[in-house]
Amino acid sequence: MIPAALLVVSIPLVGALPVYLLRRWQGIEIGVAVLACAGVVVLLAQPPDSKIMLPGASVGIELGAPFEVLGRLLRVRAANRVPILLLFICAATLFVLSWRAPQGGLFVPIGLIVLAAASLALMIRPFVYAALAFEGAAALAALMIQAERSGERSALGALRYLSATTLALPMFLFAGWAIDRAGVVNLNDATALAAAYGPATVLLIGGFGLLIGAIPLYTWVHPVARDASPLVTAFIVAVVVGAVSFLFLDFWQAYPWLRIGGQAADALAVGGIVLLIFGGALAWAQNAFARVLACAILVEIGCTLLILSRGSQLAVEALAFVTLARALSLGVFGLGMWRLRALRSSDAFADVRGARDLWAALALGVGGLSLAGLPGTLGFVSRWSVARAYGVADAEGLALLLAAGASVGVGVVRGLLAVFDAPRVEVIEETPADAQPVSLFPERVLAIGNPAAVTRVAADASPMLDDPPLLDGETLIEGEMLQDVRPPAAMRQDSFIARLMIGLGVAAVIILAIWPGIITPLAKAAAAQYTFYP
Amino acid sequence: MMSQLIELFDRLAQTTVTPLLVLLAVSAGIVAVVRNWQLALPMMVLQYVAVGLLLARVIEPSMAVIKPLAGAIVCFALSIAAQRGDMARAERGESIARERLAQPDWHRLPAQLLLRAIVAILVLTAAFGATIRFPLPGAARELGLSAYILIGVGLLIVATAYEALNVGLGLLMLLSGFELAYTPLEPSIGVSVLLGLTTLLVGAAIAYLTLADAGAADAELRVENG
Repeated sequence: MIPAALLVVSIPLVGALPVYLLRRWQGIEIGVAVLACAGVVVLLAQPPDSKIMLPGASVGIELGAPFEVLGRLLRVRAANRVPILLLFICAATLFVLSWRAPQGGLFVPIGLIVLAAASLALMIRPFVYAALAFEGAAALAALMIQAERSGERSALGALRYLSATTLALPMFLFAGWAIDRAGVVNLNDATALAAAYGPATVLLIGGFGLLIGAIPLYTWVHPVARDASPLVTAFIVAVVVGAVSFLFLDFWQAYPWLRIGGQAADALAVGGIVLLIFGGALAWAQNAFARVLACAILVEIGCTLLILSRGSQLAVEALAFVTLARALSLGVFGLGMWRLRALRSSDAFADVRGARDLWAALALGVGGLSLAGLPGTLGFVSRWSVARAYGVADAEGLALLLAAGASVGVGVVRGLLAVFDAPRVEVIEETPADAQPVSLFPERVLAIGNPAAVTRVAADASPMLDDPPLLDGETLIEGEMLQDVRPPAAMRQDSFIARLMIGLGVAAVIILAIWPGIITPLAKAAAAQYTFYP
Repeated sequence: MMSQLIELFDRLAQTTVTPLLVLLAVSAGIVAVVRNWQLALPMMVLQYVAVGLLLARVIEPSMAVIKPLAGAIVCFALSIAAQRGDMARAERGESIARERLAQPDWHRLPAQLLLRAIVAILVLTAAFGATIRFPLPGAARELGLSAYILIGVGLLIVATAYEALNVGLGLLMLLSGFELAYTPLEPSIGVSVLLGLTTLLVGAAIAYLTLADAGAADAELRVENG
């Protein structure tokens, strides 16, 4: 029998090669990637410990069979089955959304390898090796993050992400050693528990905080949101951070001392609240969609930490629901950001002023307000499940959750207002030193909307009687030189499919908000496999 | 050939440890202070050899040799990336590593070098103190000192450098330090192989980021994104 664990890792790994080779034909590239993901989803959708006989072959696939690599066991455990399935659904969704919205040539092939590494991290034991898998995933994700940019200091996001993951690695390694060394301790003896498992708890929480982007507060999230393509950011947050969250559920399951000790739950709750305060305090005042996205991600991570701090069945259901909702909301928001970046080479509010692109606004509005948790969107259902899981008793915590969401909403609305604002016309008056006494053009209007694209034409060095020299993309209108607002090359590829993807994404965000029951069975199935609940 | 190399490695590992520690501290110090790839990368290769020899004191030499091999491959890849980065900089009329080495800017250099040297000396002193006050579990004292030196200097470089290559060298140094600290706790083939693989992956990522940082990958990236 072929162990399913081998297939879960090898299908995306093997699929990455044809996907890389076919990256020029984006439709086929995405098709192959989605097919690979669908194959794993179908496999994992089978009941735990089931055996599937392949038609016409003497071999079959056994879902729970172990597979040994370098003396370590890989296995699709009952508890990991649905979380891995969810990660593959998230990845497939983001791959589909990237059709005709290029996110860098390496997004899909490396995304598949990162997906394989994230699945490996959930299946391998002991978990020390999961940290190594995440390190490998981070090294590859760095290529994905960087793919779009080049130039001095452009690698900051990728380097920050790689550094944070590298710093987390020894924490997990030493936590594993500290757990082995602690031996058997009476779980009812709080003092003995703290003495034996205190170092391991600190190391686990520290490593987890670094991997998930919570420690330190301003770490890889902002630089990655700024540097990476929007869907790459969504992929890292949905798939890698999702895998890290599910790994923590495995810690809850495997280590009763972690739950009983109480320090881990307290640390998670405090971390979650601090992130909500930090993200919420900053989101409303941001001046670029990438920054709003980063703050929304911080709020999402804060919600995840709050859910994990509870360790209840409702919390696991909420985590599963939030993971899917986050992937879709970030994906739709990312599509809007991609359109604006393609139009204006920037997503800063000042640069997109007057862009008036309805499709971008639709994606940013629905995706962004879903991230904010606005009623009528999937994000609202997600926030509602977080609130239920966190518990209505903590009124301050819930108020913070609402306020942080509202702050993200304000940030998104400010950006949308800028998109529909009148184009900004910058008037540049000649300074007396530049002024030529015989110049016929005492003042010039040089740019619309994008200050980065302002073209300063040299002040006339010689008297001119004819029209001033026009640069490429400028038009002379009644003595004013205006830069044409012309879509750059990337937007000429703007196709029916790109708009269709936005339409489908937006529809999914709204339809799933109306019928969350489509996702709920998956969330309940994920929660049913864990047994650590009080 | 390989068996002779392993035998030589084993013999070297069993000889005196002081030269290895000095080599480790000097190489880490030079990478932290000079930050010129033409000096830093050869120093990193020497450092990987020293780390491999120290590891050979606690694990099988045939396993320990993975570290210097992986390190040498990574440094080779980084040198190619740095060379291409310098070519791109030279085309833009910016100063490159060889020029900075041959004609140092004596107006700026003393202040930069002095500051970095003082901080590096502080870190080395702290590493020495930490080895005595907080000895690492399961490790011989020389391995503990080596691990603290590499972790301390690696953190210093990651925190203060901004070029992708230098930050990357700091990360690689951190990984070597963790390996020195962790390998005595779990001296298994699996850990050695996976940590070697991690070094290679991180090295490959840093080589790519070095190219992008220098603007040398512009053409390739445009093609990729096209």
